[in-house]
Amino acid sequence: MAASRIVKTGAALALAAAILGAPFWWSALRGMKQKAPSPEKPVGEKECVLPAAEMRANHMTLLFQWRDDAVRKGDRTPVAIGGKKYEKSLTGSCLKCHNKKEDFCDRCHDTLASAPACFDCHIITSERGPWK
Amino acid sequence: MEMTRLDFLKKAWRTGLVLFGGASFKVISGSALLAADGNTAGKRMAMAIDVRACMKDSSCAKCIDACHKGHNVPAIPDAKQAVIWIWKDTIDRAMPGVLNEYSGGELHGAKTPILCNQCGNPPCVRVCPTGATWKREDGIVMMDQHRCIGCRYCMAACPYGSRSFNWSDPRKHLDRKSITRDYPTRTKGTVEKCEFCAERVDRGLEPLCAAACAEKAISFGDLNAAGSAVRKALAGRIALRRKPELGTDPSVYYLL
Repeated sequence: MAASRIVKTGAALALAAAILGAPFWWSALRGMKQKAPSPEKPVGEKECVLPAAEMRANHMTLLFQWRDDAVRKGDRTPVAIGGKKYEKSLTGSCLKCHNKKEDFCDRCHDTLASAPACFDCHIITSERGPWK
Repeated sequence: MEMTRLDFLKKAWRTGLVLFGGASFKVISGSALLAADGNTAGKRMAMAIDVRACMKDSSCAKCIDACHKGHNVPAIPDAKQAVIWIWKDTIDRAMPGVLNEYSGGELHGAKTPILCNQCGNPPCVRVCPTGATWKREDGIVMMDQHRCIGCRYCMAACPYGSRSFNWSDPRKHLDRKSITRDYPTRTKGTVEKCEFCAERVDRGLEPLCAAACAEKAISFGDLNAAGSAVRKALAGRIALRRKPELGTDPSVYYLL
C-alpha cells in the first residue's frame, strides 16, 4: 500500500517536471539556440565615436553622458574623435549614420527584451509614415 | 519615581525641541528662501517685449507659430488638454491693474505675447521633487523631460500658468510629415513649457519668437551685459513685469 503510494507520487512528480520543464528539454533536444542579433551597420561608414566593442557594451552610458552635458549643463560643444566632430545628440549624430532604427537599434533591443524609452520623444529621422 | 505616560511625552517633546527645534525653525524662517537669487554675477538671460511694436498687427501670431512649430508643440482642440508655450492675451489680463476702465487709448484691449517668465526665484523649481525643472546658471528655467514624473507640483506653484501637462500622447496631434525633426516631442504624463530656446541660446542664437517677429518687438539678451539687446531695449522705457510683488523676479519685461 505504502509502496504504491510512493510510486504514484513519484510518477506524478516526474510528469509535472516533464510538463513544466518542456520549454527547456524540448529546445535542448532539438538543438535550438537563441540567435545572436545581427544589427545592420551603416553603409559607407567605418568609424563610430568609440570602438565597436565599447559601443556595444556602453552606448547607453555614453548617451546618458551626452544627455546630461547637453540638457543639464548646456554644454553642446561637439565631441571631436579621430578628426571628426560629433554633436552630442541621439538624432543629430547616432541616427545620422545608423539611419534605420528597426535594422540597428531594434535588433539587439528586441532580442534582449530591452525597451528604452528614447524614441517616445526623440524623432526617428528615417520614418515618415504615421506614428506607431 | 515612576514616570507616567504624560511625563514621558513631555520629556520626549522637550528633548526633541532642543535637538531638532533649532534646525527646523531656522529652515522655516530662513531668509534664504525669500532672497531672490538674481544671478548678479554671471549671465541672466532676459526678454523685453515692446507692446507698442507688437500691437501694430493684432492678428499676427508669427512668434507663436515659430515657437510651436520649432518645438513640436501639438495643437490640441480640447482647451482643457491644450499644450501652450507662448500665447497672446490683453495687457489688462496679463498685468491686472495697469489699465482701468477709464484709461481707454490704444493700449486698451491690445494684446501682448505671454510666455514663461524664467523667474530669478522660480517657485516651480522649489517644488519639483525630481530636479526635472531647475534654473540654469544663465537664469533659464529648464525642463528635463527625462526626469519629469508628471506630478504637476510645478503647475500648481507657477503663478503665471506657463506650464502645460500632456494628458495624452502629444504625437496624436502632430503631423509626422511636417514635424521639426531635430527637436524631440514630449510624451504622455510630462509637463512642458517655454525654455527660452535654451538649445538655441547654447549655440549663440536668439529664441525663435524673437527671430520670427517682423516688428522686432522682442529683444533678448543678458541683463548683466550693458550692451546687450535687452538692456538697450529697456533703457529709457517704462517696463512692467507680471506679478513682481510675488517675489518671483520675472525675466520677461513688457515695454509700454
